[in-house]
Amino acid sequence: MNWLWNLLDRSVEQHSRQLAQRMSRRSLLAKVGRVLVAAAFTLPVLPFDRTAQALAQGKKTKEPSDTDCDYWRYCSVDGFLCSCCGGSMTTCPPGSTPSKVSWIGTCHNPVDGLDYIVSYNDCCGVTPCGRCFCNTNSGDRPGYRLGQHNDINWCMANHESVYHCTVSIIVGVAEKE
Amino acid sequence: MNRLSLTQRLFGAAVMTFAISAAAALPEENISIEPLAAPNPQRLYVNDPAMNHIVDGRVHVIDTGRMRYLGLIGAGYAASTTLSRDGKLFFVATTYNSRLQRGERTDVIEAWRTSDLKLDHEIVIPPKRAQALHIKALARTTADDRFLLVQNATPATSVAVVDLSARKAVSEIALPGCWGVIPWPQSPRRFSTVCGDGSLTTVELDADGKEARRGVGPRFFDPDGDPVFMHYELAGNRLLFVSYYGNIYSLKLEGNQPQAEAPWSFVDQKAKKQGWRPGGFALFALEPKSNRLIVGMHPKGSEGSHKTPAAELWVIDLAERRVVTRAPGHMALSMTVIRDERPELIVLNAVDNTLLAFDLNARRGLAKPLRRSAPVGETPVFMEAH
Repeated sequence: MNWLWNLLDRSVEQHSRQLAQRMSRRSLLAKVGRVLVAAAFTLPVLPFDRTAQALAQGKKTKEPSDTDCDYWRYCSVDGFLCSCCGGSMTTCPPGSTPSKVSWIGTCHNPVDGLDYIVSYNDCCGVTPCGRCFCNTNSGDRPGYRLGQHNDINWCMANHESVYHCTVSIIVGVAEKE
Repeated sequence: MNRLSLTQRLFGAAVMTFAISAAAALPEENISIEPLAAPNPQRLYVNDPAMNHIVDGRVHVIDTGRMRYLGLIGAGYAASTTLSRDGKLFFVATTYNSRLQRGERTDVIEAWRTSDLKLDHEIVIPPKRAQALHIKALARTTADDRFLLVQNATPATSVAVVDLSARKAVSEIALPGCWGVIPWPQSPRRFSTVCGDGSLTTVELDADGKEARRGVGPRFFDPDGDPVFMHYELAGNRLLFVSYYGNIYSLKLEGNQPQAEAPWSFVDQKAKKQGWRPGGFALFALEPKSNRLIVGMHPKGSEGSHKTPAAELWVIDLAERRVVTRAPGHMALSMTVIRDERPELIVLNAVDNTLLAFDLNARRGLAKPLRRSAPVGETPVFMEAH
């Protein structure tokens, strides 16, 4: 996995993409939402996973959009989608600031069949958006692999470190192992 | 009465009501503070980061004996929390911004009295603490309560050593690539941390809280092939981890450096085929009297499923190295054990935020909860028993 770290370093140091990442508290919640898909008849549906709600209600008739948790590039998200908060998959909402550091995931794009390396940056300096909470966690690892850890505030290196929402930026195509 | 008009009847009723209330008027009252019973082992502290307004996290204080809400400790931004070993203080390591969501960042250790839930004192620390969903390893006191160890991430990782007697931060120990603080139970100046190469690094502090020496190793797991969760339990001097694939890794925290023991799986071939894996947050708990581990498990596990709440609770006898019971999971996200004369398991249900208490002494104690609380908080993730 060293290549991941190298990529992260390059991404942070050379490109200064300024985006950063997020806190993972949210993690649990999204996963709960997924579980509810199977348990929708006996359990209440949580408010934070729109994907789960749509599935539970049998209304999922079209491909996931950029505000759905199961949109392919959100495979390791743990937080609020900036697409629902006034930003987009790649832009922070007005008034917020991109994080300087981020965590990295690898997501499969079903359209072109390629795996992409995705930088999950947080947008910072505004109180949490509170909309479109997702928690997908593919590739998430504990803090001993910090660059793949989504249970922490990736606004941590910003002057104003309050977490607002999360973007998902493609930073390259993953090499096949 | 039949001959009275409706108006007359209503008037009569009003007069009677007035007469009754005048006769039985409630006494005048004075405002006071609800007395708080002395802490006992059934008291529980529930860390709730309140994700939707995370600058305003909180700790809910619950009496699990009656499932009664006792009070609340405001905990600021993504707080890490831990009880002092003597039970007198509840430490909250947190962050405040001078303008709530902006302005100057101050990181602080707050020491709250468990006797009355009031702030006893605070210790300002360098603004580097890891602002994360709380797990046990993010803030712990040393075995003698002299120092509080706090995980930092800027994202460079280090450990802040806070002298609880002198009430100041005394050192920062750089531990790049490592995560968590695990104080040794019988060596008050030692703690270990888990590193990204699968090893444990152990630091010895001097009397002033500065690093005296460190030892690297042993390497005890493969972070790529079978990563361990950072949640841990201690069975005496034995440190226990559970991995994503259901293996138990243990190390003895004795001697000059930790001694790794051979890992073993508690998931048999049939269960493996069905994809049973551990999942959750504080996803397992130890009942020390019986030396049994309770683990939250889910079927059809896959990459990314490691935070899935429990479909079943598996009870593992650590001596016999086998699963002795499989019980309903109650969507457990986190759990802890009340270490009372009659130990109970407390489970946090991820769906409705209720707490469930189970009798760990009874043979079929996990089959049905003894008590269930009303929903607690908004996005609670972690519980610590008094």
